[in-house]
Amino acid sequence: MESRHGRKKEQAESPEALKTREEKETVLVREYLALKDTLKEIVESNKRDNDALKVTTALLRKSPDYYTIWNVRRTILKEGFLDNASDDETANKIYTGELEFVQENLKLNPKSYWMWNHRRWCLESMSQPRWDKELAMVGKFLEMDARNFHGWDYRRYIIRQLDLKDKEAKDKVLERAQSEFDFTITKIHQNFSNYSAWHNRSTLLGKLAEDMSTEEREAIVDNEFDLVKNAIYTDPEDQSAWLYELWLIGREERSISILGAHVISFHPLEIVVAFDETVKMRNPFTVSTRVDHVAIPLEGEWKATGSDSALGSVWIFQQAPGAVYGPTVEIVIFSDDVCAVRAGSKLPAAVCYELETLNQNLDEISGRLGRLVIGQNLMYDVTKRIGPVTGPDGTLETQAVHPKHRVTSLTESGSLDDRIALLEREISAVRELVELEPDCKWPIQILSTLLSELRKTVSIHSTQAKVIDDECIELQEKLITIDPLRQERYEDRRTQLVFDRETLSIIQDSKRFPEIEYSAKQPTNLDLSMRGLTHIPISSYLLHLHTLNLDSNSITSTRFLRNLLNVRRVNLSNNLIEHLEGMQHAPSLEFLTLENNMIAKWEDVVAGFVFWGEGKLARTGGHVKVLLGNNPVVVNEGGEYVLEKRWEDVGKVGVEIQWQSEELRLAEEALLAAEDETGAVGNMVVDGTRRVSATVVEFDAGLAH
Amino acid sequence: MADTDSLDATVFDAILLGTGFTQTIVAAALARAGKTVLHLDENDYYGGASGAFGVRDLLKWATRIASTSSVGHDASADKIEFERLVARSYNNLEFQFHRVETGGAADTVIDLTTVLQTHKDASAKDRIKAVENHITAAYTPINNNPSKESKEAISSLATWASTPELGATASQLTSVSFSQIQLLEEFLKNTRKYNFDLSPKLLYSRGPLTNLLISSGIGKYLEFKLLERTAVYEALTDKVEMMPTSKEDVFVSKALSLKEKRLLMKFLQFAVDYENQTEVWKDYKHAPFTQFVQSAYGLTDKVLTAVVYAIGFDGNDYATTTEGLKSVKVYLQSLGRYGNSAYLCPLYGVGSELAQAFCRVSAVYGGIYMLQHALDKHNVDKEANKWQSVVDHTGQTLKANQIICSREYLSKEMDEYIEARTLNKNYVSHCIIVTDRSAFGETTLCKTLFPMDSLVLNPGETPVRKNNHTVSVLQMCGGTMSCPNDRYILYVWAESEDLKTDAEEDLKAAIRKLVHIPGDPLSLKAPAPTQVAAATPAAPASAEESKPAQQLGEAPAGEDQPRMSLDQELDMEQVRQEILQAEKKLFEESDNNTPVPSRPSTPAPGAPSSTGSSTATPLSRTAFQKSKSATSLSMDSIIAPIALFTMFYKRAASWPRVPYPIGSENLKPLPDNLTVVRPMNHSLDFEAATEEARAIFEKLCPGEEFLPPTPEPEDNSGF
Repeated sequence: MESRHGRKKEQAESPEALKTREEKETVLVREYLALKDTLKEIVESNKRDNDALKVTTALLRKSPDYYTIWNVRRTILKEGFLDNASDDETANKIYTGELEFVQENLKLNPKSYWMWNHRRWCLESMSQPRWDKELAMVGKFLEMDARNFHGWDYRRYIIRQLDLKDKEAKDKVLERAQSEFDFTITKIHQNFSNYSAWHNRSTLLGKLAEDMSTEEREAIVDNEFDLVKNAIYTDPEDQSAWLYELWLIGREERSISILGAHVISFHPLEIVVAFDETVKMRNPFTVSTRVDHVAIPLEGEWKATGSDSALGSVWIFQQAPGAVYGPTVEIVIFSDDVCAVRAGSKLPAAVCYELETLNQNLDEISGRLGRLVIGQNLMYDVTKRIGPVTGPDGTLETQAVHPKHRVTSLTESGSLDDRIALLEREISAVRELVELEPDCKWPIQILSTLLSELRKTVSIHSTQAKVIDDECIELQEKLITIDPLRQERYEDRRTQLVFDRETLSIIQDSKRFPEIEYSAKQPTNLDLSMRGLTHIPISSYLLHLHTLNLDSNSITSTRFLRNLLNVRRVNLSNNLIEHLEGMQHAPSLEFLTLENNMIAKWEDVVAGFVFWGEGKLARTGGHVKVLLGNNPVVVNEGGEYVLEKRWEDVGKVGVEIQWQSEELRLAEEALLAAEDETGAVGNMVVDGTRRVSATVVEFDAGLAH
Repeated sequence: MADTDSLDATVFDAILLGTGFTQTIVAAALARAGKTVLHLDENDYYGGASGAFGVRDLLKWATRIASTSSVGHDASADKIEFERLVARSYNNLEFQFHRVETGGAADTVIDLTTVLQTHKDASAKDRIKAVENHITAAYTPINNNPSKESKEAISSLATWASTPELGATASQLTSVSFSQIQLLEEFLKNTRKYNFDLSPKLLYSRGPLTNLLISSGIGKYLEFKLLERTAVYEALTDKVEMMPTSKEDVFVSKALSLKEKRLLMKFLQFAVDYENQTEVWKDYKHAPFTQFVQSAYGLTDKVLTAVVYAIGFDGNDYATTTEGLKSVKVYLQSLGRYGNSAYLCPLYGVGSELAQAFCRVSAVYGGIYMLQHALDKHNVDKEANKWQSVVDHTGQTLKANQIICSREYLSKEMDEYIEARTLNKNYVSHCIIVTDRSAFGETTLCKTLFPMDSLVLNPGETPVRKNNHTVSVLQMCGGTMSCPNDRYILYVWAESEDLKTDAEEDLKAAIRKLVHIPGDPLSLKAPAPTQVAAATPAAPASAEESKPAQQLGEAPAGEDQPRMSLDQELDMEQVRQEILQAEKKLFEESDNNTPVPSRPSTPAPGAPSSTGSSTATPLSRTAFQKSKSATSLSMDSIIAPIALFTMFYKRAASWPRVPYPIGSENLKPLPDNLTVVRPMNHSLDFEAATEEARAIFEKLCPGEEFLPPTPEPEDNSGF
């Protein structure tokens, strides 16, 4: 049958056709390679003519992501054409040609960074760029793909350029922002699973809100909550809407709290300042002593515990040799002296501590320094700062009389109650969704975040805080079961929550809520066994402990030990520790139980103690016993000890390894238990089916010479 | 054209009689499988019961149906009585051009009682002539230079008035108004702009038919528009409400509470995957779908029920859970394939275009086509119970191994056999309405459902009769190429079990909720002139689009929903081309130094804000995405359209349900090699017909592939 209606009889690709096709493809590859070689020649020969430009055109058509060629092209354009252009018109023609060239290619590859970049170069170089035309152009691309972030990014860039042009006409800028804001809703209505659109909306909203009255802001915020709530309920699995909800609610920025300042030695003078999070010291805290009502700086050095002495939550001041102090020593920490590692938190006001040196009682708790004056107008006379204590901007650091509290990311109020009301409203909405979708991870995560925000508004010892903590822990446990891929993240969060709950006896609200400080009466023992902890979130909390039981958790690192200046016994049996670290500043450590962990190499044990001997703070005579039973390093499959190496001298630390029988070990534990009221230290559970092999390693700083 | 009526060959693998939708697919499949195919139709158009007509052809068709007797006479048993059987399929056919007062001016009525009375006993021809003269005399003063169409209009009206059996309503018989003449004149002038569907339907974007059109390559012949929305009538509030029928709609909807949104989305998420979650619905398998939805998913709220109904109703009011879930799934799978809609509407009349596309494929593969080919009788070998041949009007005997035909092409004897086996009668009441504006505001292409028992069919009477079946309404706009841009067609139809009620009774209650019918006080009120003026949008921004203000309605809805072809799903090339076009335009504009505004300077009232896109030609994909769904869910403040033309008819769709009902034992069964195609059903989609065609093909050609892809057209590029 002949072909009809212009249609051909079907035929499979014949071997000849296949061959022709392959040949054609080979030719294409060859062409590309030849072009590349030509370009190389051009670059080397400094040719800047039309032929050179054509080569880049051909190459970029084939491979627009080859950014070097774009650079070459710009050089050719600039040196070969633009620099010789007699007038603006000629130049503009060249740029317009470039824009069209890019546009054509963008259609094939709308997500190529270099093409968008080339476009910017053209427009910025043109004498009269047509930004309005660009806006229409990028609108088209966003119609093709509403989620192309290149498009959104470029759109914002154009708007910035237009705003720059209109910087004198504020109403024009605002009108444009409003129009862009409306554009986002068009896109969101088409498909709300669009990060770029929501994000752009949040930035525009911030801009528009600047000129709004409180009522207008509240109205617009309500409207946004309504919009995003509709998206969330329509598809709770969609992350973009949840993130917008979180942005709307905003996070209460936590301030840094100073948990306390304590003297730990008078000769030489050593003072510890503990923060509730890791901070960086920007200026050394001011230490001075008073002589005849005149404050004289006391020389010395501030160091954080740990190997990186520029960061830490526990800071130690050591008096310089030969420095002399009087009956009172004062420490002043200005708010700009520290900055938090975690974004957003800062020290709200200056703090001053005073030490009476006449009564040299070194009991840890009574070693506490009196907290003198906080952020009030204080006559102070040190060489660095004279006069009232002022903040970095020169204002008096007094607390505002009527502080403004955040309600949402766009609104604030004089009363904390508004924030609480908002959070409670959102919590109940999300809670309803959790009931409808018990196995959807997003509502649970957001509920947990909202509850944490609510907890920031109440006292840490309140019943409500306790209820919130318990619920949040439950939520994390639920998340671990429904979203096992992110199990570790949820476990870390759960660890933080459990840690907060279990350390309530250590911490209390400071007079300046919501800051916190050490409780007046510090416990010396803490049992955190079998809590499922993966790490110690805030080790500075544990500064005053003597014994700490962390048996049967999932802890992977011993770094936290560096802040436990007073700890004598630590039980870390049945954890996931692979090597030891952080011993440097555990000067009081006497007994460390590490049975049934993951330590596989002897070096990993020793490394933790290498610099231990340097610790001038070691107050125990430098002797520590480490139980290492049931670690890979000490047992093999047959239960034989394989640890045969005996280290006489490791760095500056002497080591003694003892093989200890089971009976001896049990006896020792019984002794410890008797000694310790809580009986917390020591692994009392002897596994009946598995042979427990106990190995004691003793490190002795005194052995080093 | 006697030449074309004689055939070189008279023996075929298969002969098909009637170009109804199902046969055309079978014909294409057979020809594609290498069979020799002869396809005949007595009509001069494609599509049979799914045909599509312009104004003139529709009126011609109606006159033909009305004037043909459906009463059987003493024909021999083997005789084909096509015209009679077609006429029998259509009952209570009535049409009317309404009297519409334009621009507030009073309409002039020409009384015909006297002239009709005077010529009561004259011949029909004379009577018509007299009436025509009477009307012309009265009308000439305002129409002294009558157009061809004006004369034709007067002649037609005179004919209808003089011969009531031709199907004009009683009210028309005694008088004719100026506006009626003008209206008919206008319709006749635009006759080619109309494509009236006798059996309007839609395609699911991912249903069996669309998939077949794509896999076979036949879809390349066709262009489509997306159905924009689905509305449902709520009896309690007496309101027609737009339903949120996609995720984006649900997100935007104000009618649903947050919790309802979640419940609904949850149900829809389940429905997509229902086959893998049998535990949820197995207990409800044979229970009504609505019961399952309410008890298993707690979708008890009225709004939610309506949404699920809007999504899942496929024509069957008594759908079981299994059927309902299947239908919801097809709907959901269809959503988003081409845009925010699950339905495709072919352009230029639905059924006829599809039928022609399949016929074209059949012809490409050698199928022979002859329309307007009258047939005389069937020859059957009674002993072997084999159909042997069909004899046409020229006396040629056409032989084939297989004969596939619709019921109208059966011999008298065969028809009686089917009739005897059909215990339950089944009809579809139809109405075609032409209006002057959209019944749904900015939404121009949409469907509406009036659930069973929601309408009172006999207002003011007792006992109250309610609609036993869902009434479906499909509104088409100029964009579908089935009517001019300033007109809208409403197709209204419902299933019906008997002829006790006529089509008008079955459907009128629903129509009254959507349009103003002149002279019907129970229909919507006619819009006040001020209301109309206020709603008429400002002249379109671009000059080429602007037209003089329409006399009877608002400015044309135009092409804001672009046409599309089936391969646009993944074909970005076209989108790129359109971008290129749009850009060209931008550059041209910029050459004139006209800055391109980022927003239209004078937005039409209530128009969805569509920044940027309004500046240039709309892009296919975008415009799909921006289907009005998101912003115009509300039906408030819609101005009632006026019915200009209405046509009612009740189409027979009966088919035997039981294999051997009592009483048919003595009848000779149909020949083994004869396949009778079922009448077009009343459902919204073509799926049943598509499945039937596939089944017929598989029976005739076991093991052969059903419509495999057609090879690409001449393609020498290599790649």
